[in-house]
Amino acid sequence: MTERRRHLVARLILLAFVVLAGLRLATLDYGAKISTNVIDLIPADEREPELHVLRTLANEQQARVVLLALSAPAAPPDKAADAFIATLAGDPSFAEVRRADDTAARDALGRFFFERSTDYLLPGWIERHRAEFAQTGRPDAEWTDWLAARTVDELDAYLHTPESAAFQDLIPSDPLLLLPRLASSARLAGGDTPADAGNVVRIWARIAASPLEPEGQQPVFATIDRALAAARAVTPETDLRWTGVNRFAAASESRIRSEISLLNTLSIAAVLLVSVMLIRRPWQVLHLLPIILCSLAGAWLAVTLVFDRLHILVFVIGALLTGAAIDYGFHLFLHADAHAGEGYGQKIRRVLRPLLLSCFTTVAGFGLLLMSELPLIRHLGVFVAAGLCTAVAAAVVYHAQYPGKPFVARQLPALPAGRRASVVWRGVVVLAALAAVAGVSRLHWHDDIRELEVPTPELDANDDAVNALFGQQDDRAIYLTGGDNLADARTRLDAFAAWHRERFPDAELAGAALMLPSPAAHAALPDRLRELGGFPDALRAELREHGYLPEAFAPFFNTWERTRAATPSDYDRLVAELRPLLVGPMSMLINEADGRVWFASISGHPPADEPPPPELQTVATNQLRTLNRLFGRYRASALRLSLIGLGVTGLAVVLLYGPRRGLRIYAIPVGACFVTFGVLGLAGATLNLFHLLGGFLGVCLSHDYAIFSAETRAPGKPPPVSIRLSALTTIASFGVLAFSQIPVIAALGVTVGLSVFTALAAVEIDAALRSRRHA
Amino acid sequence: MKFFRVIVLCLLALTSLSPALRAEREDVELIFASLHDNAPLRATFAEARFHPFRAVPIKLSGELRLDPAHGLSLHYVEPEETTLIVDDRGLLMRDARGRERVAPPDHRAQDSTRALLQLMRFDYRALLADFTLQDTYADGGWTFTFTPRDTDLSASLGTISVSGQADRVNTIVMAKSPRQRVEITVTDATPRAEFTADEIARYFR
Repeated sequence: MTERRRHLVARLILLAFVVLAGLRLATLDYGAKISTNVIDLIPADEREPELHVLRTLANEQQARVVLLALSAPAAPPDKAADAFIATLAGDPSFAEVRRADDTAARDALGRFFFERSTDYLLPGWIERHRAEFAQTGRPDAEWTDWLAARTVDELDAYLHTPESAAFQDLIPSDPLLLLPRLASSARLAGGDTPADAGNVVRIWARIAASPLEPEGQQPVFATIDRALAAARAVTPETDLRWTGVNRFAAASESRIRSEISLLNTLSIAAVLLVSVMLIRRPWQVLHLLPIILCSLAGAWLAVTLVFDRLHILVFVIGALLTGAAIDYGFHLFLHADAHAGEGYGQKIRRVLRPLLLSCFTTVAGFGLLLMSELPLIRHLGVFVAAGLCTAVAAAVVYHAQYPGKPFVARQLPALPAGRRASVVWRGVVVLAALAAVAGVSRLHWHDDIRELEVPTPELDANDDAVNALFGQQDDRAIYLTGGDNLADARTRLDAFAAWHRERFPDAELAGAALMLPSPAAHAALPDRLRELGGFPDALRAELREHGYLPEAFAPFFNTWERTRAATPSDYDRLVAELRPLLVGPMSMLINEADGRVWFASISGHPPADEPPPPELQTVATNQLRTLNRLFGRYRASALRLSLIGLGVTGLAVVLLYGPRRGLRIYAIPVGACFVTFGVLGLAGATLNLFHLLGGFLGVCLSHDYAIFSAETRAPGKPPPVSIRLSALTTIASFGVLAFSQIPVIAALGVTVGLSVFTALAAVEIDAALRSRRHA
Repeated sequence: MKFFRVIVLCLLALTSLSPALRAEREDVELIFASLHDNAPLRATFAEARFHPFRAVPIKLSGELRLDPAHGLSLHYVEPEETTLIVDDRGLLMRDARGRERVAPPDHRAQDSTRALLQLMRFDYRALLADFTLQDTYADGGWTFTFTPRDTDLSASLGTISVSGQADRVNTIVMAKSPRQRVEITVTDATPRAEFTADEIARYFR
């Protein structure tokens, strides 16, 4: 092929690719394709209960709650709050709005339970006492008398508490204390707990759309702005503080978007800066720009073709591609002709072997990431693998147009190679090995899903302040118990309550369990009441003996007899009648979504580290804050994949270069990886999944340097300049990532940057040691 | 003429009563002022709760602390240790292990405790704004009976009677009916007590 024809073909290929990729990327619906929802980072078919809860809660009503606090300097702005609430309630972006101190719903629920306590509260009360009685080991014949005595003991104890004053009027109709216990539970649940609110009107609202979707963000913010304007029209000095998941989601999305453009721009700038500094005719570096852009276009094209939905973080982490893709351009443009008049075909065949091999090791490593459970890692695998393949192809095709214009690099000095220097370098290697061994044993791993987002300290502080105004306390643990249907979930709730009693005997457990009997307790009620035929008389006797006037309890005895004679109501009807009354914050007690039902329970103990056993299908919400357990599993899986990847690339190198040379090549990336983790361990860093991923990436990139170094090393010479340039540009691009505001991206940047730096140092030391031997 | 004489006598009687009434009111204000000045106050108390469904009252006892800034603290010692704190922020219950619960603002327990705080502050003018006052004097002592002006509060709280001598409160009775009432007997009162920082932290919020 003539040079002219080759140029033409190369330009046509590049042009065709750019046009096709450009058309595809220009017509993409980015809103539908790219997600900013952190939940989308986790597999859709994940069966872990905590994740199922998180998915449900993130998209359903729990996450739709918005807490708003209106205040004014002189007095609570009640009239302004009315105008504010009216505006919110009249807008379709809000599904429910109510004042937090509006007791109408709670009063309605209280009246309902007062009238229906035997349907809803009595079955659970009897079963709980039946279980206690069973533990005494007494014969069944004593059950009725035991229950009567226990009832009066509990009544006595309750009346001796100061808070009993509030319910003394109810006692004649409720000596079993069904309603006082329920009220106590409601107080623990905190739904009606006031805080030191000052001149604040607290408003609880639920938005109509998911807070993670655009409909749940800007329209809601606009409505709140309008509502505040309406409130200020009434009381001009009205101030508003509010919090909601949508605020965090919107802030995170906006920051991640700015991170993408900033990191990509800085990454390209850093790479070009390093290149400009090390290449004699800096403008030649512009030849590398098409390769980087083609690589990024190829990566975007592939990943958007292969996957229906991608998380935006893929593109943030994808900024690393710049540092890796540029390597191929360096290798081609810095490769001088072997001899005068070397043809393009000869030269490209000479360079192609190490070029393709280094590309293969990296692509193979990233290709293995496709087997990961985490979608983000799979997406990243395709993104980087496709980007690197495009980069190598673009480099070859682009270079075909300018084969006679090699870059002239500035020669960096080689490391000293004398005898004393050799001792020093060996000492450095030994020290690095010791640091690796000592540091790796100190590694501490912890994953936190929140590290996948940009921290928003000001929103966190605002959230804490608003939550405090709503009386939410950190000294309580919240549990969510799930089931395939309501009856199933309610049955599991009893199993969880039993575990909780055993694990936290002093902590009260409140929630829907007290409001709704289990299906078993509900079904057993008629038989239990038959068993307890003598209970009224036994109770009268006990009451009299303890100084009570049994005749004063006539309302209770009448209700008891009516219940015994009544036909029991259907369980589904029981649920259906209760549900409409659970509005406002109380609606959070029962959640139904995606064919699952979740009951919320609040415990009087602080959040504990120990999660409930998996078979209880119960998760503590503090588990949901980090998902450490789940990510720990993903980390283990990623480690397995990384080790397989290491094995595959190691095997390929050994097969291609023979055992001795292959192992020497292989030792550089693996050693660099160990030293990196050793340094991190010695520095006391807490590592996460992305450090592991970074380590793996570092190994793949370091392989390139080891292979090129082995292929192109001249006896007694320092490593080829292309390796130094590649490594330095990679360090520059990952150095940029290390400054990311997103903790996991920073983790990735630090790990890869350190790995590549160590690998470059190893290549340089290896060359220095070889120089001495050669000399 | 007879009728005229009756009118004159009545007028005379009224004019002769007026200074006495005025003096009594001044006495009430003086007593309130001296009771008000007792704060900070530390005392012990015994509480008897009479219920219409019990033949005998329920008895509780403990320590009472009143501080103008921090409110009223009822530290129940018998039958179980619990502290009730009533202040401008509402009602707080703290159990022996330090676990706290805040009662909702409309909670019925707040009615009596808030009234008790208002009463124990002995702010005469503030009390008259919310309660009607009836005062009686016998055997060198006094009894003030307060009835909430708010009818709902009156229905839930009944009346509050405070009895004492000079600047000491002896009993407080909150009565919804003769069979449903709470009697609090105050003893060992230390007026103008000095609360340590630890005491404030432990018994108030």
